[in-house]
Amino acid sequence: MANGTQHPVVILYEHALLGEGIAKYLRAQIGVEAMVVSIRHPEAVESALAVGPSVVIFESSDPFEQFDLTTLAPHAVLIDVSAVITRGSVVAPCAAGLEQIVQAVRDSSPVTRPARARRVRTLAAPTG
Amino acid sequence: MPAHEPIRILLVDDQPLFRGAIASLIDGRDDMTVVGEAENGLDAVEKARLLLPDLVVMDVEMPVMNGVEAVRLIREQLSTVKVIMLTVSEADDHVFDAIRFGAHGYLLKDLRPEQLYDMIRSVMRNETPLSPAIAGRLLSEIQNGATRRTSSPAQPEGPPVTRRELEILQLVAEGMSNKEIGKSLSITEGTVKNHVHNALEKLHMENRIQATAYIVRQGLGRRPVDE
Repeated sequence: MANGTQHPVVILYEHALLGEGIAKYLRAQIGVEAMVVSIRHPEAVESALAVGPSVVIFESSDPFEQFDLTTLAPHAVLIDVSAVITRGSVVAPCAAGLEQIVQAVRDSSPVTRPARARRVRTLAAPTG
Repeated sequence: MPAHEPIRILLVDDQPLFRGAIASLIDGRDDMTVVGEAENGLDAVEKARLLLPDLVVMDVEMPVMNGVEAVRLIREQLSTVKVIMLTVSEADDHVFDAIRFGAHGYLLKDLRPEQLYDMIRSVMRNETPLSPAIAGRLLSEIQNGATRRTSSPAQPEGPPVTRRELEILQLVAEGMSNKEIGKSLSITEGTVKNHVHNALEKLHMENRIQATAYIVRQGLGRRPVDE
């Protein structure tokens, strides 16, 4: 994965423990370049997305988040982990963990074609 | 703590992705290591018995058994195991129960990784870390309790501590260190430490955070200065 052709993964977080933890795991497991940015800093978010990531992992508790990721990262696979940290406990068990994130990143090929944002994957059930 | 054995940590959260993220951050550090993970309170109690970690990092809201009940059972059965609660919001209604049951710290999930490492180390030094928002809520409760107490015509039976011990506990509850209390009362830090120790013993408590919760619950906080 760290072959120089792979576009970086961008991680937009609301909770640094989640964002930094995912990034550290991705770097250690598949050597991917992971940029970690607080979603509360719009300029930093836009700068990070401007590099053309192949995958954007995002966490936001605000359903009306101002970022239109499909516009700002038109070619990226979007992975929504927003439901990992919210109030309340799990209604339905969810097995999604770091391995599913790794697999999603592995599944994303380097971007070579001018397609729109491809899909959004939600990798966790509501919980607290 | 690099010269010592790494702190052995059990992570408890119902979300595997969050557990994994925390484990990823901690693993590879030379002064702490993750020895196990649990997905709910019951699982945590069982794994704590099995693994005997130094510290449990415990989510609050979980299915099967929540973190507050788990901390009660762990502290009852495994008195040497320390527990830090890690929650989403300072508005969490379980704060006081968890503290009363023996939690050694109460933190929010919006910490930076470095802050979490510092908090873990501080618990192992027998300190009682609180996220600033949680500490603010405790102080607010203390002040409200003091207001309620002063406006109440009938006073409940007094606490089983001396006037001096109560005075010091009130300052503990306001977040002051032994050194600051000593300076404030013109006594030595060692004397403050003795008073705190004696007061905790009389109240059958183990740490300052429990004493703070006691002051809050009993409405024994000092009146705000501007009242």
